[in-house]
Amino acid sequence: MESFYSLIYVKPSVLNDELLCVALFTAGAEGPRLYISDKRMRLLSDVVHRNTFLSLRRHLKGFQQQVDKYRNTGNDLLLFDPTYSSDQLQKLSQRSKKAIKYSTPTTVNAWMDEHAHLDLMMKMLGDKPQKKKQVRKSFYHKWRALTNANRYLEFKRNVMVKKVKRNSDLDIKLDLFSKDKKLLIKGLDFDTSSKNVSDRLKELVALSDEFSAYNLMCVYPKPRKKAGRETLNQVMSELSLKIEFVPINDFEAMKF
Amino acid sequence: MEELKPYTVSNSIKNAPTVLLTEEGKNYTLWSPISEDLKIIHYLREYCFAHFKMKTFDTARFSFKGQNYLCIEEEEATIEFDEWQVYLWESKRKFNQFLKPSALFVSFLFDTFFPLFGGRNTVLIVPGKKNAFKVHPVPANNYESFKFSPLNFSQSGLNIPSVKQFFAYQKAELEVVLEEFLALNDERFQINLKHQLSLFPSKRNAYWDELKKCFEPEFLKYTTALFKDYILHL
Repeated sequence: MESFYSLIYVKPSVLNDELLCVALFTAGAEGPRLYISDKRMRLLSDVVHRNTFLSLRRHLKGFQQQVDKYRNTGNDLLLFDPTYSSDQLQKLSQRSKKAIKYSTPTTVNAWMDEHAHLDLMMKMLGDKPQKKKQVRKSFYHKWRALTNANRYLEFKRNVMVKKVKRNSDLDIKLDLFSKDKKLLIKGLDFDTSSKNVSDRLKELVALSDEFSAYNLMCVYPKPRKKAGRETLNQVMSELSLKIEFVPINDFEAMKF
Repeated sequence: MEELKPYTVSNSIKNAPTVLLTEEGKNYTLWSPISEDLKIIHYLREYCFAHFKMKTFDTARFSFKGQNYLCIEEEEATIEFDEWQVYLWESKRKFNQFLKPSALFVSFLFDTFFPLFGGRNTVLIVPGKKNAFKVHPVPANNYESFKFSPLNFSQSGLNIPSVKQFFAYQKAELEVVLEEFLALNDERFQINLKHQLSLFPSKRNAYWDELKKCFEPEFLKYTTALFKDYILHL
């Protein structure tokens, strides 16, 4: 299949002849790709009304999703009669008349893979895709999701101590509690601030005193920081008689 | 038609239609000189649009050197409705981003029940918090003729899969829309249209000959049945 590119323009105003090039469409034997320039979209959002911008972006993002879906599903052979061929884009460029315009396709003498696509993007739009920072979810998010899962249905979840033991005056929440199995489970992340860790450890100690007949389990993720590792080692040697420390991987493998 | 007193007339460096900016800040595109036929067709269409509650763009008149021109309001970032824009309604969630989607169906109904303007009329997607539909005031044949020539569903584009998908989301509603349209398309409307045409004595007979074919019971019955069948098979 012929490799080509097509530029997508937006006409921000009716009064002037300005066209803002916001996206690049390329296609070849490795499937179609669409890139929307973040920087240029930011410029567009500054010059047009907010609702207009949102509507235009809806169009472009919808088109991008369609293109991505087409490339990634790969149901049909791309080499024969593909949806996004040069001919189709030629038709499309004649059809698009109003705010969003597709330029006529231009042939590229290259194998259109992701690398060539990035290269063209840099040359045409002076922009490259920003890598999104991966936000690490806190242990407690994961822990809450895990304890709420169906496999722990037999346990009481997220209960205050007072609800379980009436004459107690502790104001602490239990993550998992089972009266039949004589089991208490709480999660603790040693990578959080030292104050947070020491507060939670105090709670654990108080709990182990309150529920002396119960088995107290503390689930922790493997600490990544040096301070966290040291605290864990120290705490394990001091409190291992009262509290059982279990890494989260082992806990997940446990069956109750 | 309102007479325009433009604030400026923009001077386009490309060959794009000239745009007028009025004192209220509205933009108008200069379309074409107003001829006798254009005046009648335009008047009829405006009357029908108002009757069937179809939203369209404002039109106005601009006189320049003794010649009257038809001007059409321009809204920013409008996009022509096209079946390849299926990505805008590929899921119900995306479809819900349309304001009053039945307006599109009404435009199809009008095109099929009044096939006088040479084909499918352009529908535009107007941006907003939700995308809305508006009909373009200029007919498909650009005021060239006024002739009754029935459109089938393939010609009007109703049979295209993506258009069918769009209407499938509101299948239950469409029957009501069709009934409302038929209720408005009654004898009284026929009489009113005839009266409107009588305002143009020189051409009224020629126009009425074409227009009255739209009200023939056979044509109405057949087209209604077609639409009912279409809705049933969505």
